[in-house]
Amino acid sequence: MLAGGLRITFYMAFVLAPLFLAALFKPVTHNGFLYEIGRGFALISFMVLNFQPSLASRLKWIERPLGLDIVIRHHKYMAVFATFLLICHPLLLSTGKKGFSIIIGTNVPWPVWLGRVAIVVLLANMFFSFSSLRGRIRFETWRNIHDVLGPFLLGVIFVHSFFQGGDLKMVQLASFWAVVSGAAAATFVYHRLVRPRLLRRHAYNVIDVHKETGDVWTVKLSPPEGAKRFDYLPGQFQFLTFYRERGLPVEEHHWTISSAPTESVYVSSTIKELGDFTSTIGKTKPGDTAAVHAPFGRFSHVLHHEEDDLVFIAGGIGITPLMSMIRHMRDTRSDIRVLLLYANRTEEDIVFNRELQEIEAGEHPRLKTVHILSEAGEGWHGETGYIDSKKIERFCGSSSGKAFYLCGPAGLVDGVIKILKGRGVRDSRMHREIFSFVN
Amino acid sequence: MRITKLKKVTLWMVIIFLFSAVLLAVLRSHKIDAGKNKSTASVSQTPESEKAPSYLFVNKYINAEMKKSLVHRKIR
Repeated sequence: MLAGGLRITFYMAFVLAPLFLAALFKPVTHNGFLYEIGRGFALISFMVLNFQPSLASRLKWIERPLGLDIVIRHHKYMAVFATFLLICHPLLLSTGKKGFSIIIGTNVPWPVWLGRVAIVVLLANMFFSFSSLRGRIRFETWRNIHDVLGPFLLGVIFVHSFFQGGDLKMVQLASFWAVVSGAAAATFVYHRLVRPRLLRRHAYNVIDVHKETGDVWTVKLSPPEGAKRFDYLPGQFQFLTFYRERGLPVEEHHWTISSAPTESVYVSSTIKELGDFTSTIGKTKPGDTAAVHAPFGRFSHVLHHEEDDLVFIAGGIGITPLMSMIRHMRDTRSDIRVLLLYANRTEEDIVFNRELQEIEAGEHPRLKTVHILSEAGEGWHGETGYIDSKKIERFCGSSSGKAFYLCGPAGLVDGVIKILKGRGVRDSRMHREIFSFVN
Repeated sequence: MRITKLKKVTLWMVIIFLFSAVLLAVLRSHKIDAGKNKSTASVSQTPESEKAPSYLFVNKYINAEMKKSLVHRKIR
């Protein structure tokens, strides 16, 4: 918590630094109040946008105390905020002597034209991001567009501000500007060009691929010869880029680690065929390799030692991080009490069914599993329907002293959170994985 | 939950950023007013145009000064 707070404080100080420098070295101007606000907005948006590559680059020292899902979400919120500031910037400057010619005039210096280009590029970037959110364009297509527009935008606003910005005529601020832009460019180059090559050089080997259910596969990976497997917490996730040749696509995707860290030989992810890429996962074969960037995430019971009465609520493939935690509890002979409410459509869709039965039959952890099927067959004698308030009340009893771990489709998780809040469960006792970065 | 905390923190962050921008604008424009009224002696009242040129325009400034001196020489 303290580490996260320190990083947030550093971020704020970093963003506000140019305002401080401007106030220190140029405390007097001959501009109006609104005009000055416009200049301040430009300084802040420049800093926010230049910090964006660091937020999106999965830098461990930023991600570790906060969680990558939170950092990426903050990246999105700040992109919207920076867009707002950059749109306000020319509107507020138009209250100055030059009036609306700043916005609509044609006889303006070239850096002003660059500023206009920056706003168009930023809006285009936002448009493509929202299109990706709504599923109108593929994630990979959006990512490629983002990788071109993002750095181009930073370059354009740097040149615009350097030659047009009134405050940038101060050597102190101009130097700071150059350092910030250089750091942003270096971060981007490392994230998109250098690190992928380093990871590929130390790629893991696929040692096993097997079917769990009709459209769910588990892929096991072992570290390269002589190397040690990375350390992780149960419930964390990894980014994988498979190199399979045979004409199969090479794309980076993130999946939860379904194995427990107690398994020293390999690390596994259990993957459902959901899209264009994942539909090829069954074609992965032992001997293929995968670049692994891991671990990430804060969705793990081991980060909350005070909790010893857990309720796991999963839907479909959302079982994977919870399975990692359950396996870890089994291997460490934990006495934690766990109630697992696991929702699926049919009995055939239940992933890890047999292993869950085996763990339930043992003593560590004290696991009770309740399967809930929405399209149960005739031979099913268990629970049917969906996870609702009645079922939660029936199986959980009092919520007092319990901690809830939720993972599954957004509809299920949001619905359960609403129910739990209605039952008076505190926010700190509800843990969810915001696994998708595109929504 | 973490997402609720994030929303709160981001909201406060945005408020502080906007407030800082407004504060800087108040500070700068307030000093202009003070300069106009000549009521605050401690405030620098040098107009921007009279200040030493910034480094980006040094060349331009030097060129202009050189031109001036050449014109003076020709007149002489």
